[in-house]
Order: sequence, then structure tokens, then C-alpha cells
Amino acid sequence: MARYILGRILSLILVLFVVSVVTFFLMHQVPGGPFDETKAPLPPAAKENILRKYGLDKPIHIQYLNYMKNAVLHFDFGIPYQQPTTTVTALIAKSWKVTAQVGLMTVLLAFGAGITLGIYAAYHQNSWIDNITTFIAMLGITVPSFVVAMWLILFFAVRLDWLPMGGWNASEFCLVGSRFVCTDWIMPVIAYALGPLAIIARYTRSSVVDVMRQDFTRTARAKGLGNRAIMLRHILRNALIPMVTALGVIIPNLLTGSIFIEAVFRINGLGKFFVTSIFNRDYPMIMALFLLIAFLWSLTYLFTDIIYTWIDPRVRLGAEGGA
Amino acid sequence: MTARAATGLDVSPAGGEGHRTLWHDAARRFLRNRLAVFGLAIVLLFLFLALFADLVAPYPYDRVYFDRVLRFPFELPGHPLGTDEVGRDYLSRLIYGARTSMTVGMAVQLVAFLIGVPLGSLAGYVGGRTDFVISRFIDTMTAFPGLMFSILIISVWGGGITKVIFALSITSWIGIARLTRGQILSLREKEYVEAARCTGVSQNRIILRHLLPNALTPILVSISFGIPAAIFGEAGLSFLGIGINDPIPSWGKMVGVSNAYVRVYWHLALFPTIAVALAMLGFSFVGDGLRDALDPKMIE
Repeated sequence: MARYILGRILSLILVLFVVSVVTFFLMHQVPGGPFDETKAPLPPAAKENILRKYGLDKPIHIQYLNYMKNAVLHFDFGIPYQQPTTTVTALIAKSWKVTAQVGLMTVLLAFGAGITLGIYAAYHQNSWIDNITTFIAMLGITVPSFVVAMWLILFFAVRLDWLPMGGWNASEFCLVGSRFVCTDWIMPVIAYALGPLAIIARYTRSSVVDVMRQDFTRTARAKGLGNRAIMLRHILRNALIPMVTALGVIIPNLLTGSIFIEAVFRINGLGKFFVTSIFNRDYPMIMALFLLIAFLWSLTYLFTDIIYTWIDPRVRLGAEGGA
Repeated sequence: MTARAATGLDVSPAGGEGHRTLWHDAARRFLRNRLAVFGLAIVLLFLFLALFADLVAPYPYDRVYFDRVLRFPFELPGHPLGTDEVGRDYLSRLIYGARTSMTVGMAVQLVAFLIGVPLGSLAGYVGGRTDFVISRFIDTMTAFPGLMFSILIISVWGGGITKVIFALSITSWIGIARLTRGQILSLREKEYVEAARCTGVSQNRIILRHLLPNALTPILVSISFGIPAAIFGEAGLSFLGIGINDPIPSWGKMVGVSNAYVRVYWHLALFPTIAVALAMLGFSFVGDGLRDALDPKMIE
């Protein structure tokens, strides 16, 4: 087990190395640098100064080594070209909270509603709730989140004028007096959660149905246990194991999905920063965000695999058993 | 009666005419699946629009009418779906948008097939060090955030249809390669392959005649799910404003642009979102139908 985890961590480092190299060299291929002179040509001396200040006068592999040294040792990802008075780290620190808030609410909704719907659908197969769940699952899996988001906007913001079109109230207390002021959370979270919710509902339904047919469930029923006890102690415990795999599919998608949701609803989080950074050719910012996502992405894969062995002792990682 | 088709134990060299093949059975099962047929109808409709956009569309996609900017559906007699923010016929742009979506979807999967299948079969059949290298490569690529990487590539090399196809192809072949490798690995040990080897059939012939045809059905299913994924990728990139360049229409781009006008000009957002959703649903239904129809265990 320890050997397996060590191997996985090594390969994670390798992936991050490859991602960083590829990103870095790609970034420097971008036509038109951040100090493009088409609008206001600089005197050569001034340009040289600027290039030296940002280290852009050195050969590219030296630039890369410098960058990685600062990034790994000092957690310093350089200075964003779009806001030279702060650092990349500070900018990310400022905007990650919103993205994390959106993500957290989404995960809560997706798991809460997804598992509930899945269990209900499994217990009432071919009922109308089952059919609706199947329909939502199909919609959530196939239709992109930004399309769902536009439909929500068209209906609830434009047609009915019930909810605000966008924005994100980042204040921690959503109640002013007794009034709920975070109505701008509702649509982004629903649009964002529909995809993962669909996957979770589908997984839950099929694994609950599967476990319901097992012998131990029948035994539990035969010895007179109540429905609730059977569901909580026997069915859910076993049915939720495959959910960990679902987690491995969902979390990485959430990481990139935020870009679209933040664009539709004009939320000032990391995803929106990523897009503006691309339009502004802000190398340090893109580089840092890309590394961050790649890091979280590979970490998710690693953790889901480890959690999987921990929950289900029948799974043994590695060909030889490892543990 | 269908055991022959199911086992794949077809020893006769030419398969023979007249008997019921796996494909024959699969087609029957597929056509009995209502959702799959519905999906197929949508897919065929979009393919038709994509192929014959020049004949079907009432206007060229880039014809601008400065006096007809932002008109609602049916406001003007010649524009049933209205006009967009610079005065182009919206219906025509939607129809040409099908061409963009279908081209990207198919091209990306074609590339995925051409890279993934040879690489996967090589790894699965040769094994040993070749397999090790290819598998590690595949593992490393899996850990790449695919869509982010496409965004990165587009932002470096610019948009346009070929570049979008290229950017989406970089990670699209991984699934197929992994699948093909697994299939070949398991099929390699089957008795009929062993029999072929014993009778002195050459390696190439074993791969081409015995292994690949049997590995083909899951690959086909994977491709039919890969097409909507690629369509989604293109729509997503264009939605962010970095995919297809003006004046070529793209549904994703139309949705992205409409975001600024949606409070009043609802039609700009509604029609392209419906088009994207229909295309994705259509291909997914076909994929589901194919998977069920091609599974020999599903024989009634």
C-alpha cells in the first residue's frame, strides 16, 4: 500500500512537471507579448528595462528554472501583468473564496439531492419520480452547464423576473433581518450542480437496486428488521461505495466547469480570472492557475483511489496486492 | 439460433452470405429502441443541415443587413428566427452552425480513432516494454485537465476550426487507446486467436482479421459518445470567445454573445441553446442505443 501511494505521488510529480514545462513553453509561444508595442512604441532602453525587470531577457530554459524555483520554494508565482501592483498569489488568494463557495454549495446540492433522488427512484422503480429522475439525469449528463444556465436565466430572470441575472453575493451571512439576500446563488448553483447531480443520482439508483437484490438484504428483512434500519445499515453502506468513483469523475469536472458558470453569471472567481488572463496574455497568471488546476486534478485521482481501497477492503491496488 | 453471432467463433473465412450477422441483429435491436431511433433522426437531420447548408439556409451566414439589426422572430417576413446583433439572419446562422458542430465532432473522433486504435493495439498486442511506455504515456495524459489544455492551446495558437479540432484532439484519443489496449489484451488470449496462431496465420492478419473486428464494437460505442463530447468542447471554447472566429457561425459562440443581450433579445439565447442540447441528446441516444444493440448478451 505504502509503495503504491509513493509510486502514485511520484507519477503526480511527473505529471505536474510535464504540465508546467508544456504550459511554460506554450505560453511563450503566444503571438504578441504582454508588452506589445503596436499602440505605443517604447524607446529601446525602456523596453529593455521592462524585459529585464520581468526576467524576459534571459533564455527560456533559465526563465523556466527561475520560475519553478520561486514557485516551489517561496510559493511566489510572479507578478500578474494585468495588475502589476500585486502578486499572482495575492490575486488568487483574493478570488478563490468565491469559486470555493460556488463549488461547495454545488457539491452539497449535487450529493444531497442526487443521493436522495437516487434512493427514492430505486425504492419506487418505474414510478413517476423514477421517470423524472431518469429524465433529469439524462439532461444533466448530456446538456452542457452553460446551456442549462442560459435556460434558467431566460425563464427565472428574464421571463418571470424572480431571480437576479448574475453576480455572487460573497457576504457570509445571507440574511438581512429575515430577508434572504443571496438569491443570486440559486441559479449558478443549480446550473452547476445538475451535471454531477445527474451522475450521482444514476450511480446511487443502480447501486441501491443492486444491493437490494443481495442475499444479506433478504436475510435482514427475513429476521424482521425495519425498513429504515435495512436501508441505513445494510443498503446505503454498501451502495455508497461506488460513489467514490463518481467523486473522481465529478471533482475534476467541477474544477473546469466553474469557468463556464462564472462566465455566464458574471461571478468574479478564479474561472473568470482565467478567461481574462487568457485575453490579456497574462503568462504568470495563466501559468499559476493552470498549475493549480492540474495539481488539484491529479490529487483528486490519487485520493479517490486511496479512499476506495480504504472503504472497500476487497479492492487491492497494484497487480501484486501491495498491502 | 443467434449463438453463432454471439460467440464470434466464426471460423469460416468469408463469414458466408445470408446468415444473420451480429450487425444484422444489432440493426434490428437498434431500430426497436424508440429513443435511439429518435436520436438517430436528430443526428441525421443535423448531418443533412450540415451537408446542404448552402441549399437549405435562406441567406449566406455572413450577409449583414444594417437596417435589420436585432429583430425578433417573425418581426420581419424574411427572418423567421429574427436577426442577430449585427443584422445577420439567425436561422441561416443556426443552420451553418450545424456544419461547424458536426465537422468538429466527427473530425476530432476521426483523429482519436486514427491515433487511439493503432497505439492501443500496439500496446495490447506487443506488450512488454512497448506496452509499458505507451501505458505510462496514456496515464500521464489522463491526468491532464483536457478542456483546460484545449483552452491553453487555443489561446496560444488562436482560434479557427482546424485549430479547435487540433486542440480537442490532443486529449480525445486517450480513452480509445486505453479501451483498445484492454480489448486486445483480453482477446489475445481467446482460443480462436490461439487456433489462428497455431495454423500459422501471420501476425498482421491476426490483428487485422481476428482481433480488431472483435474489438470494434466497444470502440464504435466509445466514438459515438466521443462525438457529443467534442461538440461540447467546441461549443464551450467558442462560448468563452476563443474557439471559432467570426464570421463562421458556431452555436457555442452564439450562446456566448447572446449573454450580453439576453434581457431583451431572448431569441439570441434560446435557439442556439436548443440546437446544442438537441445535438448532444441525439448523439447520446444513438450511443446508448448502439451500446445496447451491439451487446451480444442482450439477445432476446
